[in-house]
Amino acid sequence: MFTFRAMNTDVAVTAVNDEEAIAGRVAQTFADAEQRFSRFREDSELSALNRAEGPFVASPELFDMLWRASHYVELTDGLFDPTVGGLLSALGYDRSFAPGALNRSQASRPPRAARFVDLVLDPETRSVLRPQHVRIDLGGMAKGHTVDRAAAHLGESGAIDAGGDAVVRGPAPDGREWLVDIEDPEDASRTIATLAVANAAVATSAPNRRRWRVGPEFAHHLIDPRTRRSSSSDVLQATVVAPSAEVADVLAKTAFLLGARGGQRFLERQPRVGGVLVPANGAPLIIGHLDVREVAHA
Amino acid sequence: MTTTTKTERPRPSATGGAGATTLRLYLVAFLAAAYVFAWWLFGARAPARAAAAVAVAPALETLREPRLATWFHDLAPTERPHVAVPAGWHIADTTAPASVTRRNTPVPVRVSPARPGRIRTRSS
Repeated sequence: MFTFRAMNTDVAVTAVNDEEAIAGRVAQTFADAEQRFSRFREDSELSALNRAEGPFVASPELFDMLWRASHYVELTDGLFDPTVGGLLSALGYDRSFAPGALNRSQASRPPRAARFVDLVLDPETRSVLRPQHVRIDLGGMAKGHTVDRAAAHLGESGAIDAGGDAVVRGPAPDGREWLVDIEDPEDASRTIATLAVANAAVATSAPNRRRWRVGPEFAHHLIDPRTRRSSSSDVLQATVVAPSAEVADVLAKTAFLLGARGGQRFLERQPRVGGVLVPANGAPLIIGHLDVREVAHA
Repeated sequence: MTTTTKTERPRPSATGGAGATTLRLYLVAFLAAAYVFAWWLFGARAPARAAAAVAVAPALETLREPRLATWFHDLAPTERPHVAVPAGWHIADTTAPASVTRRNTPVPVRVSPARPGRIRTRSS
């Protein structure tokens, strides 16, 4: 197994053959994606779009990402919305996260309400027209997309785990299924459930690792577009198993924002998707056809 | 009495006139011979030489072809120009053709998995 640091998280690569070369290609894929999609890098293409005045002709990769995002916005009735970037910055998440680094006495003045549908996307010319008050943050979706792209280097068997967003292919090195341990959001040393996963992706959303203090309150990175504040969901953590890491990430975030009951109903409607929701009170909710091997009992 | 002075050019002798004519004839013959020799040299034998030239042309062209690129590290350190690369890029010290790579590309490190075949998912 090889590891490296990218997108402010640890990335682990497991491959059957030629592991070092594959890990190198995966690392390059992550570096390329950061260069294109990071809102924290001044020289990224996304930052250029967020500064642009007038139509911006995007690269095929960025435009495709925005185009897919528009479908996710529709799928989630706007709960998934990459234009919360301005709100995140106003709340203090204006640089790459580090524990304690974002703490501040008060939030900045929130920007005008922005919605993804305010963007005008023209697939013919790949141009993006962004109203000045709209800031785009592709965050977890970009990470999921990068994991999916990197997984193309794996061949028939292997895994890429980018701090919660993971893809597994073929059998594990021991010839059996890959096992995915879901961390307990209240005690990182514990596992809340273990799933057997084959040729699929998994992603987890929770506010426990990206929290900072804004005056007397805590803020976190999961913004609810309905309230324009950090979500006060009754779910502590949402894990989704889906065909791709990008979809898993979007659906996990949406299920988290919807809360336990709404999130369960939402995930049940999605084809080829399973999930585990950890409510603030009560036992974990297992949704869809998941191969659950172990469940921790309190 | 009028005295006139008359200067006469010496008339060329009959023998001298014949010499000039002969000289011209020699000159014409020499030029003709030179022409014939040149034709023989460059005209009649040209095809054979052309074939030979074709045969060696690729090799010569290869030798004379200007290099499409000179890699930075092919130059002696004192001959290397100052190259301003975009922020975040650097000139890699490598013999590979792609000698410009990104500085921010992480380098994977081999580790032993704590539990092979297992992944831990969490919020990141």
